Amino acid sequence: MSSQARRLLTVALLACACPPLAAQSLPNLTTFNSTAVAMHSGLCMEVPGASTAVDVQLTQNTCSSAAAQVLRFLPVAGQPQVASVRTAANLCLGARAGGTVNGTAVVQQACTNGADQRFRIEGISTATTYRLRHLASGRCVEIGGNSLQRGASVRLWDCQLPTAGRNQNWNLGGATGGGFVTSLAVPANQAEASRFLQQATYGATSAEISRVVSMGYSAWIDDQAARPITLHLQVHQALQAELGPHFVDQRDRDCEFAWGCNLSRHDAWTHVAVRGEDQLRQRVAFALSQFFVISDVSDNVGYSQLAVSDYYDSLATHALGSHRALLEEVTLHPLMGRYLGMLQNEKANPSRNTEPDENFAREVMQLFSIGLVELNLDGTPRLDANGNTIPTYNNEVITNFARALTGWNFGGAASWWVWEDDVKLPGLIRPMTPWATYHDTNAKTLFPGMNLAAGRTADADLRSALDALANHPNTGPFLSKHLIQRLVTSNPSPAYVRRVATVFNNNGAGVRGDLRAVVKAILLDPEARDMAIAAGDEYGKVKEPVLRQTAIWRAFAAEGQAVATPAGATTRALLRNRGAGPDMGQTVMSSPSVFNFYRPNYQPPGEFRRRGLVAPELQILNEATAMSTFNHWHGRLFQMDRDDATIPTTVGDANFYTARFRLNLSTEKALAVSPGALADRLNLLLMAGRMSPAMRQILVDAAYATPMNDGGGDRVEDMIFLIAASPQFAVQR
Amino acid sequence: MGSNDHSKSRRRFLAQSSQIALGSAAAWATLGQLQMVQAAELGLGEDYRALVCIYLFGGADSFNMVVPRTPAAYANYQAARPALSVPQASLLPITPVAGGGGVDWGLHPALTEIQALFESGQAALLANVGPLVAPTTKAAYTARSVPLPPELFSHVDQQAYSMSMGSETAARAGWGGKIADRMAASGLLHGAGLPTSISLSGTNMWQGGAADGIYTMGSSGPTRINDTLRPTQTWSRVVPRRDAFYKLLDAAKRDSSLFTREHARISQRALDFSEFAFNALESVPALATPFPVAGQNRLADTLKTVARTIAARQALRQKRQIFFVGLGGWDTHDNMLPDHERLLRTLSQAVAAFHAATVELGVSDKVTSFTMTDFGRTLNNNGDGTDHGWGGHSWLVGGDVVGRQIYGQMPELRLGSDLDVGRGRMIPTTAVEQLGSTLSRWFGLRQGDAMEIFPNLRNFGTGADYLPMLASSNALLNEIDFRRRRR
Repeated sequence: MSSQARRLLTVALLACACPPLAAQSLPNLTTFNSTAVAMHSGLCMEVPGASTAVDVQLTQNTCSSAAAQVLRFLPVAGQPQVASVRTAANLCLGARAGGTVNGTAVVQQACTNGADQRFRIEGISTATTYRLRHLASGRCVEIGGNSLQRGASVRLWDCQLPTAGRNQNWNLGGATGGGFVTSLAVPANQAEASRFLQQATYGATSAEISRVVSMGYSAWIDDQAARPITLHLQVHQALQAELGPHFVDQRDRDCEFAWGCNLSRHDAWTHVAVRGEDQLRQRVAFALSQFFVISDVSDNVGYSQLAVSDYYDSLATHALGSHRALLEEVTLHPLMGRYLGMLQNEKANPSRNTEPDENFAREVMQLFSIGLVELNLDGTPRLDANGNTIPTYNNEVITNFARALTGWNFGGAASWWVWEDDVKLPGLIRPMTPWATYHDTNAKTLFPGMNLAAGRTADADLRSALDALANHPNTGPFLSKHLIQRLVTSNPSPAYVRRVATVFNNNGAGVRGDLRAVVKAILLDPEARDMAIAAGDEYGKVKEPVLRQTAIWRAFAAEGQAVATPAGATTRALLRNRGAGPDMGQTVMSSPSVFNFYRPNYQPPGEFRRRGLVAPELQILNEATAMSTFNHWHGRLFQMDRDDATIPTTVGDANFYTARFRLNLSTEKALAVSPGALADRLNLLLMAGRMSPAMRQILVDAAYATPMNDGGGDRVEDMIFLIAASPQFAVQR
Repeated sequence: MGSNDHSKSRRRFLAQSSQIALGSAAAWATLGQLQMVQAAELGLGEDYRALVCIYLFGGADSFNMVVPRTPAAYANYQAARPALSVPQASLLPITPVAGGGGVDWGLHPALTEIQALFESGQAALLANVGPLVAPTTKAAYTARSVPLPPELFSHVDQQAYSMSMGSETAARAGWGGKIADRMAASGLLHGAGLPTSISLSGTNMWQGGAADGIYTMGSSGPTRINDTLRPTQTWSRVVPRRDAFYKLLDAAKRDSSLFTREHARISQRALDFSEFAFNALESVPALATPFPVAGQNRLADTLKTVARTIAARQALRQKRQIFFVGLGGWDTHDNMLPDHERLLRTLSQAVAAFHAATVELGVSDKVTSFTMTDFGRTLNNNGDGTDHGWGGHSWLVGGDVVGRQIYGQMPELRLGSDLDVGRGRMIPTTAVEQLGSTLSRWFGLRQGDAMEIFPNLRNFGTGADYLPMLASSNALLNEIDFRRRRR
């Protein structure tokens, strides 16, 4: 079976309509009898001639309620929505000769209770219409050739979109009330597509909503994963090259520990977030940037802004790739080396009473891989016989990891003690390389029983150390939960974490740490997709502040302005981003410490704490940031220009030109005369259709109270501001 | 517009929160009496107190902060960290009247101002303090025969422990927040215009859990909402927008999402408090005390705002204020000598300017500042820095501090000493709860309150709940003891 099919199955097997915190008690399918009416033809599936022989292929025929057309659906224990299907002869439906390819005949055969006789009953759109997905192949039961003829045969084929594959849609009248949910594989409408894009991108746009509707989620993810990466460093260097001549300060021009280069890094980030075609990869990279944290608050990192962009590219490069490769690239990135001290970390020197720096060894375990306590596959802590959590390591383990990771320096460094000024950019982005002299070659014990013999190289020790972490049973649930919290919901059910961590451990093809499969499992999980689950008041998350910004910019295709430089040349139109971080408490790659902007288990006081729920992003919302956020939106949206471009076009200092940007609002202005329609469009783009009727009414009333100045521009601008500044918009559900 | 009657909603909010507190704490009703005793018998004027917690995020190195000058002791210290030792000749001598343990001590040369405060009796050192559940010896630590704080040597967990005696994953209300609650329960703070807990460094666990919450302001003070959104705004162009803004906020409080409701609650607090606080701070004269140039010393900038907030205490109708100010960067695994020096200079200059401002305001004996940190650091080194340790020192600064003293026990700065559990990670000899309890008593809480807030104190024996570091509470406690004995 292809890994693709297995991935689909993993999701299919676990779909349910359960409340998020009680996923264990799935509503089981009950046994029922039904005819199966092919929706394209109106004919019924039957065993031709009421045969009782094995290997007879099923066909379609005029519905008659004869016994040969009655199928008995028997639930498979522990697999919601999965059934074996028996014919009147008490034989089971299955694939002829165990076939799994397109065109395999669907026949009746002796019941084996095997996976190749199991079908997932996938709801489509109406209450009684379903697809029958053959589990062993992942393909759907259909009438071959879309035939309308009586006697046309039943076979397996790639599952089609429900609207395109009505010869795969079966009306099972008897299934009504059987506890099924509607299909989660494709959006039911534009709002559901927009909701998906809140989780998978930097913000929905009209065009992307249409793409998701037409492609379905899974194909959209595959398409995204196949897109080439947009590299931040390239964009950053291009911006820097363009701005360079206009900078006043030499260090700004040289991009050395300079404000100008910090600004252009944020400009580059913004450009990629808003314009990048590889949205899924970039969004996951942002989530990873809050897991494998480095921060330019530290001078060791802040000095090298171009290298920060390169570090970010490392995250994006592996965001949908191999976890083990990601862990190694992060570990060996010289900025990580600088940030947490692995760079130029020497073996112990008794004469100077030095021991290896423990910083990276500690944080790579506590934060970047396994966490402090042993976890179950579902992310909950394992408990010992006394009900206590079990530490994953002690300080002895840290010391041994620290020793194993000694002896690394800038790639290509000419001497051990070399400064970043000397290695400059190539050295600041090249993976670190080992220096045997400084590596501790004594024997080490990483985890109990995991011994490294004396005399091994730095390279070998590093590989063993990273293998130990990547293969630790905690790593799957620990990272999976982080990604779920960043992309989908703050309080995932243990079952959701378990389903995703299971895919981390094995993508279905025996591969561990396939992040593309992990991301897909996160986004296709019923707990991400099922609107019934999303109705719970504890569901969802506060959007990270920068995601609120990018959502606005993307929805309205924000543009910067070209300006004339002092030298008389005209710059490109740059979408520059300045000043949001301090206002809203989140500046990309500038968290206060390696512990990110907020902790994953932050509980706001009051109801969250009483109910045992977390809301990480609320740790950076307080009276000060709430107020500056209001003011930020006000400043941003009312000092912008509209689509009639009158932004001042010359500024003397390249640092500060084009602080403003414009939104393309022509579509919205055309709707301004009917505020209800305007509210509906903004609801779709910015709130995924989850705007409450009360909120919509307030917005509509305000628009009617505002004159149609500037072709409706005032109404549009006000409504965008009101949404952007609202607590409702700040939450993704 | 009804929804914008901020002062009313604030009053309602505070009334509710004090009811909550009172309902659970009738036993503290006599606290006001205690305050009156304190005020009358000690000749104090205005009944006002402020605690200022300066949290040194990252785990500040203490062993280069206070260094032995006595040759033998210095030699041990230098041998432990030869690449990092502060030159003996550069140390700023201090002459504690007690607590030196027979060793002469000096401060890091960047601590000029703190040296002056110490020598003039305005500052004291609490030595080798840190998270402990019970008194711990090296043998007991090695045998694990004594309960230990969870996840020793981990940043977030030791921050959590020093702030709340909890672990990060089992967060409790912080002891700053609990002190605020107990004060509120006394009724003394009735009518206050702001929550007692004021943070200039965002949400934090130390103040977390207080019934009336934390009021958070920026380092330069409260921010007002843009004038087009103010209730007083009358420009017709923006009035519909402004009205809708508040209606949306009201709708958000009743939203079907818990996240939206909480977001709205915090937003409403911001609106309720910020205009009021902004105006209160604007209403007091500018400070004459010189502070470091704005933008050059972030801690000083922030402490200046604290001083302005203290100056505005009457306009804010506050008799008690508890401030939280953080200063990051102390995780000196590498580049320690220059980084640590810069941080110490920042701290020293900021604390001194702030203390001078409280003198200018006439409240220096009513304001006590103190430092806390994640943990101390290793005495040995990794070449150009130090790693996570355990015990470290706290500074106390203020006019009521019985200064020029070292409280607790200075550790012997020698690898392999009786306190060293590896690499010079020193077992604390004073629990952070003893510091907290002492400050809570000075702030006006009774012993019973302190024992409840700091549950591990009972493990440390009689008298551990109060270290005699603050003059007025020393006197008060002596007076109470005296009366008790007389009766």
